[in-house]
Amino acid sequence: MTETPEPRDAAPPTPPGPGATLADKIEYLRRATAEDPSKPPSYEQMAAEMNIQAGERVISTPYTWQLSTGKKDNPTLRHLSIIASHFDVDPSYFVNRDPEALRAAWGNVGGDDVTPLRQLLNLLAEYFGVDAAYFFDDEVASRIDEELKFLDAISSGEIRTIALRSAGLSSQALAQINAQIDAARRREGLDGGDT
Amino acid sequence: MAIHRRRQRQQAGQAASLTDLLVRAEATLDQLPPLPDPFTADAYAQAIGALRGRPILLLPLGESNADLPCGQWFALEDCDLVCYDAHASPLLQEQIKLHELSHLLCGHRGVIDEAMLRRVLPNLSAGLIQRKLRRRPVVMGRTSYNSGDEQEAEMLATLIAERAAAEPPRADQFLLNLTDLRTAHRQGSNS
Repeated sequence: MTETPEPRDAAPPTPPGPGATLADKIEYLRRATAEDPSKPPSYEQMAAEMNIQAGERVISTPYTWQLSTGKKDNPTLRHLSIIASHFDVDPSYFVNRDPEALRAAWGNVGGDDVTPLRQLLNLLAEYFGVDAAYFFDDEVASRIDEELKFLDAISSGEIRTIALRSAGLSSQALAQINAQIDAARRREGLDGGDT
Repeated sequence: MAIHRRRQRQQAGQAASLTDLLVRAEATLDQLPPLPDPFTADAYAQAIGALRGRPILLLPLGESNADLPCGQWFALEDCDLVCYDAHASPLLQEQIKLHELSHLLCGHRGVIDEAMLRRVLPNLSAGLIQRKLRRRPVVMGRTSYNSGDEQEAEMLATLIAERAAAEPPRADQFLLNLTDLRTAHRQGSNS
């Protein structure tokens, strides 16, 4: 059989599910897209990489922290939490926004907030490696959640090998396979792996 | 002329490798316990699982891929997952199950590579897939999709169906025609 990596330290990150806030989704992606989910990148690393990606300074560490935690007020960070001039909106602008608000603003072509919102969501999406619709479209988000779970099972060695005779897998098929992987993980946990 | 001769050699080579596969599949099957009677792919999967000491789960997927033979084998930590198209005809479902079981019986190692993951995970970026695969460097170094394995599995599946059936399997359900192959094999050894 395929050589597998060391056993995982913890259960894989759980997707926040439909209707989750921007903060919950960012926090999930921060772990789920990390090489090792138990070692997510720091907010400082995230901000630095997004700025490199954008080719200019567009986001600060404190603001990345705000977006990820949904917290607007942190005494130690407040004086630093300046959203970069690039986005040109109030620091609390994106924090804690729900998918409906994001979707409305995303589709609001010509509206004042469209450009900074699109820029921010595109920046985050590119950083994490998913489509920007992840942040406001439940159907896209649930498909991507299944893909991330499957990729995690590959990465952790829970899927040892695959023979695939199909062009791809539907969202439903992927969810069914992920459910079997979850069941196998629970069995391993119960048996202590002695089967 | 040289090109023509080379093409003839290639065709002969392919035919020879198929008959080799048939001979090898017959040897593999001869070493296995007798087929369950009455034969179903489900009963056979259970028997193979018991033999290997790893249960085989058969999972009907809610796919709808018309007439294409769609099936998947996933080796999980404590079991093997064989998936088939729930919307395929019963005959095609049996064929899909036998094909995926044959991968196990042939001792195939399967494939996990970036190209395959990008087909299964079209909404994740290449960079993300590469980052997550870093924990499995052995996988990254593996050669990609192995069509030889597919042909070997299809050969064994066809042979199992032939031995299991009172009548030869319907040729249109399988990609290989064993009768034609045996005829070609005989002609090849006579000349």
